[in-house]
Amino acid sequence: MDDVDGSHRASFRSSLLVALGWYATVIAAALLGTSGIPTAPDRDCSAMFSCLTAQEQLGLLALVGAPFLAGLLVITLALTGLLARRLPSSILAGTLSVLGSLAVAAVAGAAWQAAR
Amino acid sequence: MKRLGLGLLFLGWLYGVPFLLIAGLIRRTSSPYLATHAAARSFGATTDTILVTALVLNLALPAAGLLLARLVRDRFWAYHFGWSLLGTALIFVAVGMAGNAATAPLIGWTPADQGPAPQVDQCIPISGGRGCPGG
Repeated sequence: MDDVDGSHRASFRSSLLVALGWYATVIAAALLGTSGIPTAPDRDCSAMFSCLTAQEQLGLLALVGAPFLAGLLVITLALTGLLARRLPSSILAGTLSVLGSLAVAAVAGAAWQAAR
Repeated sequence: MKRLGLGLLFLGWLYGVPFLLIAGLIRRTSSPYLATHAAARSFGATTDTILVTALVLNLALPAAGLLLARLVRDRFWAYHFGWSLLGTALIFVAVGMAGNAATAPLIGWTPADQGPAPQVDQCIPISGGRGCPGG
């Protein structure tokens, strides 16, 4: 961590690390939360993708989610660059850049939906 | 060394509390398959433990950190822990809003189970309707 006494600015590298930590935390928490939920043993498995094992679900999710995550990370990278220069704390800059990225992604998603 | 300990305490709050809250709220909003009532109660109890731990740590970690940072006169971490109390308040507000949106209480809730319905073993006579055997 870098020194902060009001006059200092957040460092880009530690801000980015804080932001990446948020992504890791949320993904790990979602995985842990869903892994503890028991499913019914007698489900109808005739339809495709209706009965995936946890590993298969994870693979599918990674495949579908990778482009979204990549887009989010690009926005986060840009926002971190902007915020780290203006804010006094790396922790604040990294956290706000993740929140800002989610907001930008939500607005972009809504605009895309409206334009379709 | 002191700074490292305070830093770990801060990161524990920053990432640990949202981690527990997300995992707990996913469990709370899920509809798990639970064969017996005992299994449902145990599932609910684990969810409660996760959520209560998150809420307690949300206040305890920043308060302890602020106290320790003041004691060792660490301006950097005292500044961060001081501001983190604002985050604590925001998290409490967010959890309160989630609790208001839910129909059942957030903590102390037992999910539905697939066990047999409890049998009615008491006969209540209804006047003009049914009588009870032996009386």
